[in-house]
Amino acid sequence: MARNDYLRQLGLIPSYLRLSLLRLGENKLQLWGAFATSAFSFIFYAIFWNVMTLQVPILTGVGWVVWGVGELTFLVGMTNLAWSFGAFFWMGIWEIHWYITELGIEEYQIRPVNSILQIMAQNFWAGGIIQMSVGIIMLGLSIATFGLVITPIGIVLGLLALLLGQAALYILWATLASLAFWIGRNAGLIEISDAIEWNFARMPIDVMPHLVQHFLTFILPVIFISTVPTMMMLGQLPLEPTLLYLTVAGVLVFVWILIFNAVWQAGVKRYQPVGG
Amino acid sequence: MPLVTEPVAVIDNAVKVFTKPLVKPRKGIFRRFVGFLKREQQTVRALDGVSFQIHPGECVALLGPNGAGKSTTVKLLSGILHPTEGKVSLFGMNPYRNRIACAMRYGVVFGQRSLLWTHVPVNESFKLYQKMYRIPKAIFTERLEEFSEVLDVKQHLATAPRRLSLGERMRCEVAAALLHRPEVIFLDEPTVGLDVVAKKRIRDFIRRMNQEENTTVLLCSHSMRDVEELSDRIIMISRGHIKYDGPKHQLKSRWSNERNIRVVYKQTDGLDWDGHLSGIPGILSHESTNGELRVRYNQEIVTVSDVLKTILDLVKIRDIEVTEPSLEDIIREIFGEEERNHERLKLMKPAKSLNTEVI
Repeated sequence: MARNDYLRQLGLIPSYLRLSLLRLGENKLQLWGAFATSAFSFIFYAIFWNVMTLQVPILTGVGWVVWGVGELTFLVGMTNLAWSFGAFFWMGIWEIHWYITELGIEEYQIRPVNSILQIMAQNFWAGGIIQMSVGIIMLGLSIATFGLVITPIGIVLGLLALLLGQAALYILWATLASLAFWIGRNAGLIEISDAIEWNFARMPIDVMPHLVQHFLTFILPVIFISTVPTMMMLGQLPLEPTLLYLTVAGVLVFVWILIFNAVWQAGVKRYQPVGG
Repeated sequence: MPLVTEPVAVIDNAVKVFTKPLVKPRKGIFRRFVGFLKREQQTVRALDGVSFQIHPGECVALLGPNGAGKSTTVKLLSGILHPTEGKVSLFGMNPYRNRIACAMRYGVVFGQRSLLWTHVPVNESFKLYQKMYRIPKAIFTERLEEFSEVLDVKQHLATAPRRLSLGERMRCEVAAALLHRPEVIFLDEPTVGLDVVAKKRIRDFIRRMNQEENTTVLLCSHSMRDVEELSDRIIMISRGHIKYDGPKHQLKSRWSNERNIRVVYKQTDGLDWDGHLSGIPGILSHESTNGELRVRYNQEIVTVSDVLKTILDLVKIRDIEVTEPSLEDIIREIFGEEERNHERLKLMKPAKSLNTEVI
């Protein structure tokens, strides 16, 4: 495909975002729900880590970060931020298996745009801005309350790790969802991965046993959506592991794109229409 | 007029095989459990060696009963599906491999699916399509004006599709599919569920696109009115095979010797129409219900007066109507014959149906 055509397709993203914002006005109650969920999640985990650190004052992982109550509160804020990015941009990934088995992918296949881009863009959820705001407020509160120091370069590197890690994770889910071409409805498979992700994301993964750490770095790369960005933003990660983590995240994104593309192409080839 | 242009769409010996679970009643919990774990599949040949070409500017109707393979054909041509065997080409390209390039040049209206965003005003969806198809602003505005007039969609542009009636929404759907002036339009049941006024507006608009802009149209519809008014050529498909491919008038002329008589008569007890009419040469079929008799006959073999004489000898007639067979009658007859042949073959081969195979 010509470069020009990729640009045409990417140029549609602002239009999709606009439609997403317009759609948001149709369901204001959902916005309040998102706000309440984010705030409740933060309050619950802030209390949880406060209670935990009363019992175990310091959690030490591989030696780079000492997880006190301030760092842990920042980590919870980071999880909410990651959660909001997921809700905003990646919601469509959850719908893929549904389109394959129930709704049909025809309406995406007849438009001159990549089908996955359309599914993602059509499911952009502008309500993620609320969760994002809550996440940023949490990060600000943890910095102000516990006297944490963050640097601009830390923010850039942390966000990069977060975006790469999240991309790897969601493309992995998209691959699992695309198995619906062969096995039919598979919402359960994705829900298992989702449960693993969000349960581990709220904890400092570097304090866990090595086997679990490796699993959550190379297989289900949850470490990149909260632990690694927190360490980078707080400037507590040395240069060498910083580069290593970013490289691993980049390679994972690349590998999962290749795997997903192969699975999707094979799936579309054997696709059977839904309802005629 | 002979067609000398290159075909815009070509289907060459296309086969499309689908699989579906074989539903088998199983007795006993263990067998049901095994059946749950290991489901037998059967293959269905939705298309079985279909070939045809469509030239620019043609308006072709693809007809067939439910499950005949019409939608599968459209989906092969639009690049949604990949043929199991055979070749499919659109604009000289493989539509499956060059889906995006082809989609820039065709438009699709699926009567059962929507191109519009349900929750946002219709004009917002149109704006997205303007960018998607890179329609220059001046042309987009001009096109929108044209659609507003012809399809009467202007007052609906600021309304979300979910708040529109089916007819209003379908007119907007047609507009959305044709904004970019496609060279080929695939219409799959474009008037399903619409009232007569909405149907007419859509038909008139499609005919205008076909005649004034030389747009090629492939229409799948169960509405014979759509077919009668729009198409020049008919492709009849049944059980994945083409049964007829030719001009509409030729199809009608094949049945030009046939006539239908409808007689309303005063009912008489114990009347055996079968015994009186079946033996007359040239009478092709007859049916009677509640004092109304319908007879189909070949006027080359038997005259209308002979048929009426037989009827008059038996009953008192209240009303008579003699008509030529409509396109709908002809098509019903062709598919009815096909169905009867299939049932006969099924009785001869009870283990396997014609176009399915257990794997």
